[in-house]
Amino acid sequence: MNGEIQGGWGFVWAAYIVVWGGLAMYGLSLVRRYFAPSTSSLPPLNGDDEGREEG
Amino acid sequence: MRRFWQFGLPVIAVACIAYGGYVGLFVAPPEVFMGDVYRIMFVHVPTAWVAMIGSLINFGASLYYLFRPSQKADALAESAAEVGVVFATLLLITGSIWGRPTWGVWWTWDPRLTTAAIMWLAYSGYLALRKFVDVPEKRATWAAVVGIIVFVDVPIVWFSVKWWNSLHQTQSSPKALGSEMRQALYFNALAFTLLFAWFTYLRFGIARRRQAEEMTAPPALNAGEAA
Repeated sequence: MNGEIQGGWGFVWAAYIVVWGGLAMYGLSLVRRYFAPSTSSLPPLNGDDEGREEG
Repeated sequence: MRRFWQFGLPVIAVACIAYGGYVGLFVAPPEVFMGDVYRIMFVHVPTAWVAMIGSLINFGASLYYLFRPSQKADALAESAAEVGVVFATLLLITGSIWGRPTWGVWWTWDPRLTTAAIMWLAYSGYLALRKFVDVPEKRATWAAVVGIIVFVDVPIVWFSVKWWNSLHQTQSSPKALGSEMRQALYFNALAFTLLFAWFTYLRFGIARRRQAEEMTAPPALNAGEAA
């Protein structure tokens, strides 16, 4: 390698671990909330609730 | 279609993220001056790209809401803002990690970094506002106004490296990158965009359910006005 900055893999891995770890944690929290049982008697999620859209 | 969004898209997105990581870490060649440290670009730039998409969707949905109030528009604005803030957080962290070996500092009050930090703070404030207002219609209207105002910072972030003397490099043209680097960057941008789409879909569903629960909640729970 001819680079001015030698090495640096520690920084690279740190960045990737932060990104992948952060996205995994957020993704899991979304999945948990999305599939959690609803306290409402109405069917919850995307696209099946056209009739409830307000004017 | 719903099955695809719930189960197909995440499988595709995670597979793309994994392959994008492999290409960025092991296939793309080292850069002449930065060596291997530049590989942070393959996660840093896509997070910036996706955070910008989140801001743009939030802006569009907020504008739509003000002209034609709709719970779906409000839910979409909320979803895009939250997911965008998550990616913006990762953007700032990876930028800081990249800055240390290349600039010698974790953080500096450079125009690009400062405007990006302001953007992060502004959208965090937007989300906080949504938590503080209990009345759904009032919350949606106020949030739409704030969503439009905070979007002003987004083009400033984009052009900051051209308008002011910045440590941060200007936007690279595709010609500035070798073909392997360019392909790795584009693939990672696609992978992060797919993940953003899935996250926003899930978050939109959560927001819609909360709206439905608010509509069916006993009056006492929605009596923020009376207090």
